[in-house]
Amino acid sequence: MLHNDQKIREIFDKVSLNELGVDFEEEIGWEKINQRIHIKPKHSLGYYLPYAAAVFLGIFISLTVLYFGQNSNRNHTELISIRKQQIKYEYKYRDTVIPAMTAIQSLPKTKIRVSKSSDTSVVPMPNKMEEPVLVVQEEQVSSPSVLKDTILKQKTLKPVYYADIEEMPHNIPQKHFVLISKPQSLRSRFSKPVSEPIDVQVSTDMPLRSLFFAYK
Amino acid sequence: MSSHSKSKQFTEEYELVQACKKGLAAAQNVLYRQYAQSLLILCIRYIGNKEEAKELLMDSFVQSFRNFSQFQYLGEGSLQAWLKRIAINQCLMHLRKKNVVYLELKDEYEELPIDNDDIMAQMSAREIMQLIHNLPPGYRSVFNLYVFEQLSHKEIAVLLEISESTSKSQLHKARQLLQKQFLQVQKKVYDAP
Repeated sequence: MLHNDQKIREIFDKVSLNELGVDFEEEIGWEKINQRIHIKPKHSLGYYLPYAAAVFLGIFISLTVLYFGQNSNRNHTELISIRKQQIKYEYKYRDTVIPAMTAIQSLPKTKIRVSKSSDTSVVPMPNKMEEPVLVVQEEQVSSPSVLKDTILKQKTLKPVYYADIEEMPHNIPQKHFVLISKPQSLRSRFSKPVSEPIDVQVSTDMPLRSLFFAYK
Repeated sequence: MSSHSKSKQFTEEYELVQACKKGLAAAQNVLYRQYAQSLLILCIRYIGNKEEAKELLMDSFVQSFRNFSQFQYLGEGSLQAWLKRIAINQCLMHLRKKNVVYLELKDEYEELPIDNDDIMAQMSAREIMQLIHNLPPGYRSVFNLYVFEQLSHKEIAVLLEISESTSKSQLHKARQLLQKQFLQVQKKVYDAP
């Protein structure tokens, strides 16, 4: 059989396509090959996968940053929300004496400042920000209307919000402890319309460590 | 530019290889024209179907040109051998996709000293090719690898992922079938008036 193998090999070594009856157009074949080699193949989905992954990662990172960024603002947002509620609450009970402890406990202490000045005055915050300032009237006020007039004369009165019951001087006569609140800064923060002048309401028989919120 | 003038630029095979490695289309064209016919005959031997063989020839060249950087020139003939190997691989992959099965035959077999010189002398290459085509794809692959590529059964076994004994039995069966066909042709020749 080896002899036969040799014979077959010899035949096929010399054979041409014509002898085999094969019609082969060399030029067309070359054009096809040339096209496939020198023209970039269409990319499969796999080619785009790394790019898609990169885009996805980018979006994921952006969303993560955005989410945590929002979360970092959440405390601030919650504080604003609490204040909004507080304002509503205070506004609702502006004609009522509100137990100080109840009102104050939910408020941040950092916003509190107590003045021991002998007259009604404005005590700015140390950092001179337009932040809450507490006005405390220590002197004897003969009547609510007197106090009201006094306060209304304070044209430079700055926003006053809260009092910290802990820091309040103990020698304040209970009848004359008044908290005035002018929500100008609140207006700027919450775009809440505020009418002028300040609606100050004073009660001469307020209980000890009670606050009277009086503003619009 | 005609193919003749193109080939003048690459008188040495080594130069042609270097130019192909650089991806020069002119060099690739020369290479294609040099080897397309012989490789197409090779593909036809393995596949049988001429159109499929032409497609596989294209695939082989594309594969070769894309991987030319991996080719190491080891002297005359190494380029042809490399191109042939790629073409054979393409054909075998094509057959594998068609789920060609290489069955191991348990029958005892031995090499028979058969001489078909007389009848082969009277047959054209086309007719002999037809006899090879008539073999089942599995037999034909082993026959081609053994007879034309002159691979050992061990090498064929590795290439086709079959056992050596399977390779041997496939070749034996191919020879038997070929012999049967030769005898039929011989009979026809002798019976002819």
